[in-house]
Amino acid sequence: MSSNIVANENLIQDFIDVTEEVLSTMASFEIKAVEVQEINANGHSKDVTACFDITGILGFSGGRKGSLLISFPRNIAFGAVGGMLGIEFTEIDADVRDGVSELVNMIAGGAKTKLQAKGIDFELSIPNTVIGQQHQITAGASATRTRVDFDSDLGSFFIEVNLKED
Amino acid sequence: MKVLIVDDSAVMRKIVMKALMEAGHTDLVEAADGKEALSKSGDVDVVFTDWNMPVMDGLTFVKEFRKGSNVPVVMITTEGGQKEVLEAMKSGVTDYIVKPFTPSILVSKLESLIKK
Repeated sequence: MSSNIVANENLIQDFIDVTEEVLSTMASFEIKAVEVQEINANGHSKDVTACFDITGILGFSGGRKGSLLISFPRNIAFGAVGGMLGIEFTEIDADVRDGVSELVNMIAGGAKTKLQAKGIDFELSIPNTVIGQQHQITAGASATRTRVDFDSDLGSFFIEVNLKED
Repeated sequence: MKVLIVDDSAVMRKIVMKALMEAGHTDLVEAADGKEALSKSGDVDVVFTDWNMPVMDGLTFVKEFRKGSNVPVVMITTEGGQKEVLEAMKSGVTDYIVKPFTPSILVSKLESLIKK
C-alpha cells in the first residue's frame, strides 16, 4: 500500500481494518487498501469529492465531529450487497441502497468502537445514500479529509474519512 | 419457536432471516422500529433487535418490552463499545451481537437461548 503523509494515520488504519473486516464477514467480499491520501495536504484545499455511482454517507457528532463516506461503482455495489444477501443485482434498487447504507453504518460503528478504546468518542448519525453517475459531495471546510482506495476482483472503490480537529 | 427481528434496514432483516431459515427456524416476524416491534411482540419466544432506529430505538423498545415480558432479547448492533454493551445489559438485553457477524454466530446465540 502506498500512502502520502497522513495526519491521523493510526485512526485511518482503524477505518481500513474495519472496512476490510465488514466486507469480508458480511459479504464474503475480499478487498485490499492500495492507497491512502490526505486530500487537502500540501496546501491544496479541495472541498468537493467526485464519487462513483452510489455513495453511503454518515455523520459523526458529539465528541469528534466529521463524516465517513464509501463510494462504489455500480458493479461493486452489486457484488458487495449481493454477497450480503446471496442474490444477484442488475440495478440500483431499494435493497442496494439499503445495503450500502448498512455497510457505511457498520464501518463507522466498528471504527467508533476501536477509537473509543483510544479515548476518542463520537455519536453516529443515521446513514444516507446518494445515487447518480459522477455525483459530488462537499465536505466541511475545516475537516481533515483522508481518502483510502481499495482494490477488489470487481475493481476499485474508496472510503473518505473527514475529521474536524478538536 | 417464534422469532421477532427488529431493524430499520430491510437488508439487515433479510440477512438475519436468511441465516435463521437456513438453520430451520421459519416462524419469523419482522418490524422496522421499536414501536412496530412492541405491537408484534405479544407471542414471540426470542427477539433480535437493532439499536439505532428511527421512531423508537432498540434501547427504548427493550425497556418498554421488559415491563411485561421476560422473553430473551439479543441486541444486534454496530455499537460494540464497553459503555454501550453495559447500557444495553442494564436495560434488559439478554445477549449481544456486534456487527459484522457471521450467520453461525446468530444461529448459535439463538440455539443457546433455546436450550436455557
